[in-house]
Amino acid sequence: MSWVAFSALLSHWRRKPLQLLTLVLGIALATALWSGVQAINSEARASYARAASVLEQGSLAQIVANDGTGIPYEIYGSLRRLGFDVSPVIEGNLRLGTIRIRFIGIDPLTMPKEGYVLRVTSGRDLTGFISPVGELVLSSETAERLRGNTDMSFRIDENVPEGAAFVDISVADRLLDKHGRIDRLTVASDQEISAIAVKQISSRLLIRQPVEQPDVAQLTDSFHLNLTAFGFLSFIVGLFIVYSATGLTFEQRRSTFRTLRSLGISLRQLTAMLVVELSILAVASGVIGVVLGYLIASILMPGVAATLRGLYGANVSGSLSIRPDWWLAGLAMALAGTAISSAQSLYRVWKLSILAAAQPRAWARESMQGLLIQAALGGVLLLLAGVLAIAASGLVAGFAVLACLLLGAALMLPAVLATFLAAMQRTSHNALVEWFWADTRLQLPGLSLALMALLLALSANIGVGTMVSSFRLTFIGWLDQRLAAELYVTAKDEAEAARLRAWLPSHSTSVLPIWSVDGDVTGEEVQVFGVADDPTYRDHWPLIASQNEVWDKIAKGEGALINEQMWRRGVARMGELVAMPGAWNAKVVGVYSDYGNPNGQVIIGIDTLVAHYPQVAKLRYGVRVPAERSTELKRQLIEDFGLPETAVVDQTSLKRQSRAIFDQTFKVTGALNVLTLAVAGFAMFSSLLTLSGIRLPQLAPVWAMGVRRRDLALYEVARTLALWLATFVTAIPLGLVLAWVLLARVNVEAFGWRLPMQVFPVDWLLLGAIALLAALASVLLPVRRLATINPADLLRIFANER
Amino acid sequence: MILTLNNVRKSYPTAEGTIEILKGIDFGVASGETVALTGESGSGKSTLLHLAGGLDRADCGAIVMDGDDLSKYSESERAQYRRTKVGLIFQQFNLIPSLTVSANISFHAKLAQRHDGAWEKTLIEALGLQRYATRYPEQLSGGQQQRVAIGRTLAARPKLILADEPTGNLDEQTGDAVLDLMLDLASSAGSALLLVTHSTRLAARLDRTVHLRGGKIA
Repeated sequence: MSWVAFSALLSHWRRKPLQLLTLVLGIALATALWSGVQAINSEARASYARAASVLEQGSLAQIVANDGTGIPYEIYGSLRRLGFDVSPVIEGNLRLGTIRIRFIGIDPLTMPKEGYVLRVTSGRDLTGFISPVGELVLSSETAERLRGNTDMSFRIDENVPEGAAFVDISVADRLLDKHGRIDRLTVASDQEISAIAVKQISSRLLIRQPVEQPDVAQLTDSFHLNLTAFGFLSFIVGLFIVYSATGLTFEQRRSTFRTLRSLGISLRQLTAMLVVELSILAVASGVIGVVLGYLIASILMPGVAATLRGLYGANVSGSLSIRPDWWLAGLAMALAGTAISSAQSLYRVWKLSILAAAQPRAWARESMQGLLIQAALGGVLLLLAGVLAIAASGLVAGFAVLACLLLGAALMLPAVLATFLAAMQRTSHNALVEWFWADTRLQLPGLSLALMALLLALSANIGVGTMVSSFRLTFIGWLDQRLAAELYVTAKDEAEAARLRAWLPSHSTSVLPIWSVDGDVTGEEVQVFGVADDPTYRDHWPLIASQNEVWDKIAKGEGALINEQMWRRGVARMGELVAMPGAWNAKVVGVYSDYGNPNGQVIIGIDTLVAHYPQVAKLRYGVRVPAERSTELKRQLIEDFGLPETAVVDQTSLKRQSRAIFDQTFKVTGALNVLTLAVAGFAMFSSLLTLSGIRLPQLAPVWAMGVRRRDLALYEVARTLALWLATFVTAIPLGLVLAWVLLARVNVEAFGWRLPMQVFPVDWLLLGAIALLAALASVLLPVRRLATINPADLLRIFANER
Repeated sequence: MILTLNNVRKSYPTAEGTIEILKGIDFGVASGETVALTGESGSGKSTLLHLAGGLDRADCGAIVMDGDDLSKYSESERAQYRRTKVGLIFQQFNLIPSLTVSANISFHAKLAQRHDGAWEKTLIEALGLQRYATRYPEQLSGGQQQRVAIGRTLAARPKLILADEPTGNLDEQTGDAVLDLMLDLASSAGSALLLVTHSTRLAARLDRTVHLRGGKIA
C-alpha cells in the first residue's frame, strides 16, 4: 500500500470534516443502541442464570413428583439407602408480616457442592443454620426489608437473589406446612441415575434434566426479543446514514480515484486502501458506539430491572458490568454494518473506468426501474407479512410479521412519494410550483434513505405508543374492576387474623378473604385463590368468558375460574376438568383477565379452598365500606385495632402504586422510542446536509432567472415539510397495523393476554410535532447556508473554467 | 441604447490579494443589436456579463438598462430584473435537471409572466426539439441541451440576451448551427444579444465586436 496515495485519500476528510463527523456518528449511533440493548440483555440473562443456579440448583438434575404433590420423606430415605446421592429441597412462598418471601429449604449436609452456595467455613456456621429457631441466608437488601417482621436471625450472602432466602429444611417444613413432603430432590452431578431406576422406587417420580435456560429466561424471551428488535431497528436506521455518507464521499473522490489510478495505483491497491480506511473508521466509530451503548444501557438498566420485576417477577440487578463479549460483538457489528452499507460504493470503485467523469449526483440517482424493483420487493414483503399473520403462529412469527411490515413499507415509500410528487407536479400551473414538485422528486433518491428511516421510527413510535396506551387504558379500567374493595388489610399472623375476622364484620359492609395457595396445575406453577360469595365479584370481576350462573357455581364449589394466560396457553378450556394441586379436579366455568401476571391463576370458592387446603394462610382481606367511611375505618384499624400502617392499604394508594409500576414498566420502551426517533432525525439532518452540498448547480440557474436566495431557502423548507408530511401520513396507518400485530399477535404469544386496540390521535399529533421540529432542525443549517450564500459561490456555477 | 455601462469597475479578493478584473468599462448595446465580447482568458468578459445580468454588483460605475441603474437595485429588484429584462445562456447549459425539455423551455417565460404557448411551439420546432420535448436534460446531447437553454431564454422574449460562450462546449459544426438559430430567433424576438466568445470567426458574424484586454475596452 502506498502511504503517499493513502494520505492523499485521507486528505479528503481534512477538507470535509462535517462529512467525517456524519460518517463517524452514523456508525457510532448504529452501534450504540444495538450494543446497549445487547448489554442489557446479557446482563439480565446472566442474572437469570445466577438466580437459577443459586435458587434452583439449575445445573443439576432434579427428581420431582409428576403430579406436583411432592415426594414423601420415605421415598427420599429409600433413595439414600440405595446409595443415590440426592438431597431434599422444600420451597414455597411465605408472607412474613407484610413481606412475601420465597423460601428454599435445603439440607446442608447432603446438598451436592455444585448446588450449594452457602459458605459454611466452620462448625459454628452450620449449627447456626440448622438451629431450631432457624437462620435465614439472604441478601442484605432482602434482610433490610424483612427486619422487624421475623424472629429468625439473618446471615448475609449477596449471591442470594433479592426476595429469596435459604433456610434449613426442617425450618422450611415447619414454616411452609409441608408435613414432611419434599418438593424436589437434587441429584449430584456425578450420580448416574436412570428414569427406570427412579420409576422402580415410585411410579410417580420423574427426572428433570438440568435446563440450559432457566424458566424465567424463557418467560422473558419476548421482552428481550422486543429490546433486540428495537436495537436492530435503530441499527438499520444508523446504517442508512452510513450508506448515504459513504456513497457521497466516494463520489466526491471519484476524480481523486481516477487521478491515483492514472498515476499508477492499481485498482486492487485502491480498493485495499479504501477498505483499510473504512475499517479504521468503523473500528474508531464502533468504539465510540460501544461506549455510548454502555452509557445508554447504564441509564436504561434500572428501568429494565423494574420492567422485568413488574412483568415477570424476575430479579435483575439494576447495575451493569462490563463484559468483553458484547464489546467485541459491538465492534463486530460496527465493522459488519460499515461493510454492508459501503459494499455498493466499493463495488462501483471496482468497476470504475479510468476515464469516467465524476458525477456528483450519480450516487443519489436511481433509475425508475430501480425504484420499481424496490417497490415490488416491498410489496412482496408486505404480502409475506399478511400470509405470516394469517398462517403462522408463535412469537418469532409475530416478530417476523413486524419485520416484513416495516421493511416492506419502507421499501415502498420512495415509489409512493414519487407517485405523489408526480401527481402534484401534473396538477401545478405555476412555473415555480411545478419546478418545486419536480425538484423535490429529483431530491427523492438522495433523501429516500433518510425518509425510510423516518418512516420506520415514526411508525414504530405510533405502533408501540398505541399498544402501550391501549394497554394503559385497559389496565386502568381493569384495576377499577379488580381493586373494588376500599381497603386491603394484612395480618402478621394467624392470631391477629382471627382477631380481624371477629372485628371487621361489625365495622364494614363485607369482608373478602384473599387467601391463596401455590401449586402445580398440569405442570405449570399456579396460584389458587378462594373467593367469598359476594356481590363485589358478581358486579366487578373482569370476566372474559363464562358459563351461566358462574358465580353460583363457584360459590357451590362446582367450578373454577382460570386466568386468561392459562386459557390462551391451552392449559385448560371452558367446561373441561382441570387437575388441581392435591389430586382433585375442578371444572372450568369462566375465564378472567389478569394483566401483569406471568403465571397461571385459578379461582375457586372460599369454602372449597379451605376444604382442599386447610393449611392455607388466612392473613389477607379486602374490606368493603362506603367510600366516605374508608379513611375513618383505616384510622380505626391502625389506632383502635392496632395494625401497623403498612398493613392497611386503601384502594386509591393501591391503584396509584399499580399505575406507577405500569408506567415504570414502559419507561424503557418510551426511551428506546425516543432514541430511535433521534437517530432517524440525525439521518434526516445528514442527508439534507449532504444534499445541500451538491444542490448549488441545481439552484443556481433558478436564482439566475430571478428567484431570490431567500425564496430558494423558503422552498427548501417547504420541500422538507412536504416530505415530512407525506412520510408522517404514511406512518399513521403503518403504525396502526403494527399496533394491531403487537396487541393481537405478539402480546398474546408473549404474555398470554389480548388487549382491545384503541387509537390516540392526540398522541400522533404530538409525535408529528416532534418529528416536524426534528425535520425543521435538520433543514435549518442547509437553509441558513443557502439564504446567506455569497453570490460569488452561485456565480462559480456559471464559470466556464470550473 | 438598451444597455449602457459607465466607468464600471470590479475587483475580487484572492489568496494573492485583491485583483481588479474590470478597470473602468464604458460601452453600450443598442436595442436589437448583436455584440460579440472577445478577449483573453481572465480579461473580465464573464465578469462583465455577470454584472450586466444583475448576477453580481459592480464596485463602482453605472450599469443602466432600459433607463434604470442596476447599481441602485436591491437584491429583490435585481431578481425581478433577471426575471423580466434579461435572458442568460451559459456554456454549461445550466438546465433544470428535474424538468422536462418542454418544461425547461417554458420555465423562464412563466416566471416572467410572458408565457406564450404558440411562440414556445415555434421555438421548439425551430430548435428541432419536438422529439425530445418530454425527455429530461440528462437524456440529451450537449448540442441538444444548449438548444434547450437557448429556447428557454428566447421563450421569455427578454430585451437583452447575455450569452457566455454558448457554443464553447460544442463542436464547430454544432456550434455554428446553434449560433445561427440563436441569431435568427433573437432577431424574431426583437432581443439584443451580448455574446462572450473566444472565437473571432463567430464574432465576425455579429453586428459588432468589443475586445477586452486587461480589464479595459481595447
